Amino acid sequence: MTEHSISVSLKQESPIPLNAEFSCSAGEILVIAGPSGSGKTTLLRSIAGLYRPGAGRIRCRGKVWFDSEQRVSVPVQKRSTGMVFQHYALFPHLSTAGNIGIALDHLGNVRRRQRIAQLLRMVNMEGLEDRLPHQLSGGQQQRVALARALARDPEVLLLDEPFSAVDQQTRKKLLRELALLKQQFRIPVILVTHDLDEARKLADKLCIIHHGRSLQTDRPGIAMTRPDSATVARLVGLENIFTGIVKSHDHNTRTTWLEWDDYLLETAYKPEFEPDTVVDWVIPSENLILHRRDRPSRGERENPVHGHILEFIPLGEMASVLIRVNENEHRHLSLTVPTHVARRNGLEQGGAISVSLLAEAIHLMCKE
Amino acid sequence: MDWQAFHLSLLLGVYACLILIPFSIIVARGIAWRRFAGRNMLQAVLALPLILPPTVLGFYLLMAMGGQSPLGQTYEQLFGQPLVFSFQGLLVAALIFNIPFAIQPIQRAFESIPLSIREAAWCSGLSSWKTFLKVELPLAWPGILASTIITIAHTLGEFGVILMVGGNIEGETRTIAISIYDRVQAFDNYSAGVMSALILLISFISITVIYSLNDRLGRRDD
Amino acid sequence: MKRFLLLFILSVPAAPAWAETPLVAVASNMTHALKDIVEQYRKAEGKNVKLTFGSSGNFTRQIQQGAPYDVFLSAAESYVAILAEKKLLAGEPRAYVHGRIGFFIPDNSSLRETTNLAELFNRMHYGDYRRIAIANPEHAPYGIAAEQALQNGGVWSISKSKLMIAENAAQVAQYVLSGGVDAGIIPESFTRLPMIRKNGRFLAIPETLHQPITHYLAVLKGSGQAGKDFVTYLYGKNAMSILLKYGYSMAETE
Repeated sequence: MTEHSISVSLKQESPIPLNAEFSCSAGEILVIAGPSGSGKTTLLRSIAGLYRPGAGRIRCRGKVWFDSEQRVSVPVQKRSTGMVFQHYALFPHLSTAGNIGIALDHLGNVRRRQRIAQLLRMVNMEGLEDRLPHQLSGGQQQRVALARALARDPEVLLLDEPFSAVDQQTRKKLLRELALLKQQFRIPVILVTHDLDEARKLADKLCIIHHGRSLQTDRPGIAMTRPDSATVARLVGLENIFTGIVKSHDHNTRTTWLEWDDYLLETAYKPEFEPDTVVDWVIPSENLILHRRDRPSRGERENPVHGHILEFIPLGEMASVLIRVNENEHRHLSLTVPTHVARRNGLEQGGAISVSLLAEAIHLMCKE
Repeated sequence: MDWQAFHLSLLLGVYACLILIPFSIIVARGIAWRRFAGRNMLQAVLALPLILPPTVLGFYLLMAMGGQSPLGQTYEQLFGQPLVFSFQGLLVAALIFNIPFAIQPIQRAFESIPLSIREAAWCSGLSSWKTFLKVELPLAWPGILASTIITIAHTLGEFGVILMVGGNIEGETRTIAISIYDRVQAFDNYSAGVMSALILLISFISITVIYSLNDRLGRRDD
Repeated sequence: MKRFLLLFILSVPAAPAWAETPLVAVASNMTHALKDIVEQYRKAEGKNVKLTFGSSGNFTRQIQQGAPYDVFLSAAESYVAILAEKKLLAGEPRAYVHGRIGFFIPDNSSLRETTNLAELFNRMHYGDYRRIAIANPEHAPYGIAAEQALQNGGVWSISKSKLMIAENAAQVAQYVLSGGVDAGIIPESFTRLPMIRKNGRFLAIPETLHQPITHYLAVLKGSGQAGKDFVTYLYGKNAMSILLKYGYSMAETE
């Protein structure tokens, strides 16, 4: 762990169960993602000092902010955190400059004004010093909240659901600003959201939270294609999650054979799974290849699966297809195909269909 | 027009405010933001003077402050005069019967301040005290002002309790409400009418101001 | 603005006002008589007196609780006796004057045709009216006398259900004047008031129909010289002549 980072480890039974561990380095954006009620906001508030968890440790840049064993809990005001609240929590009776200035009590008047001007420039709010919060748009309010959070040169920046109430344009601007800021400030940035799309775009590290537990902390690319468990797979929005049995490994062809009820699938070589182990496995939808009537390909030989179309829903340019494998009700494969391809191949509800499961993309997970 | 009585009533109201408003700020703020066992009961107790008949309140106050009570006797020993039937006795009564009028508007004002705003203040480095001064008070002032106005207005109008605890002593406990009653009994409807009109005017202005203050509080929530 | 507030606040009644000017508790039936007397006292001797009017019973209770009156003009002996027993008096209470009562029938009353007492009792016997106001017979001396008069007039049983109880003698007249009451038993001294004279008829009740309403004067413990001086004046010729004008008669003094 480097000097300029924050490490968090919290545990609690009630009232909100928590069991999370993660860290974030300077200049890194850690996104804590999970469904509503998963405890992610509680984690954020614990870091800020607004919530005192039952047990655990929070260390930032070598300073202990919270240590239940040592009975240390640094009060909110003394922790060097900048927090951007979900609904901004701007002081309604103060102007933009006033809102930022209130965090700069310790400076003299001249220095304070300079700092306010500097911060306003940084968040592109120059000229709006005297506006009151209700005279600002949602995006502008957020920027004031950001400036206020950064006013005291915090050692960590915390954001609570920053994308929840903003429109597309503001969202794009925010993404850009955060990306710039993390480079500029060299502080860890921890952000909480339930919006996985934004999480994926922004995060350097993604921490998946469920019922207060941190399930997996990884780069987004990894977390979302190689989840540690079926739960994480579901949380990151993957479909096509199934159970199977690892049958055998072939060292020469570097293949692992996976039994999926009446199918035997070949997957990437995963010798760490003992034969006859029951596993969960997942394949992202984009790795299902449609067997095309118009252009049959060699890829069709890889893990062919046959079934009937249960649902065919054209959504603009792409169509969403749900396949019922064989006659088995419980195995549904989900994929999207361009609508024109679907049409050319005569895809329709109830029709027969075959797909190939790309071996490399079949990801095996320990059974929960 | 009994100016002395009017002056006495105003004085009573102002003094009651000076003591009651700071007390109410502390108590109302605590009730607004904390959940604790017995919170509902505390609120009920503080609201009692609103519903209790003035005679019941007056009765209990007499028992508590009268010549036979420990409080009354201690006071008399210390100051040489009885607590009842004196201005100071009225002040004690005024503190009690004004409690709900002082506390409730202030409590509502503090309740309307979202927790996130106070948390934002703390995260911005403000101590609890600074948060109170720079964030909470500026947002709660309409409620505090409303409390002050309604406490004074209510004191001007209170009759039953004052009559029981204060009697009708000129220059000491003859408030304007008592004076009006006194004039009516003496068939002096003219004086009673003048004083009543004055109280009516003051009450009307008070309520108007209070409504616009409530408006101010309400608008901010948007 | 701040200075005004400061001045205003500093004008608190710090020391009790009863130090110099005596505070006199007066049974409400003597309201107007005492007002005249005090005005004369002010002119004659240049001294002021503060009066509070109310029911004798209420005053007695208040005095027991420490109310700072100097002099008590009670409408009955029983009350000053209570205070004497509780050792709250300075000296012996003295009988002062007798009061008289009568029926006050307002112009809008259903009984307004009656011109004499016998006729009134007769009509009342038939229950031919809605309401009659008297002072509280539980504790107000004028109420007790009223009840006695009604009993001796043979109309008590019917009146009982039509009674409107006032807190003291003065309030009876006020109830009658505000309407809805067909008759009220008020102190005779009130007939000197234009308000009463112009708005109804007064039928005096002979003293034979009730126990005498003897007013008593008592100086309370803790009274200053000013209070005692006023009592002396009250027994004087000037005060007495005013009282006689109001229909009171002298009680036996020593």
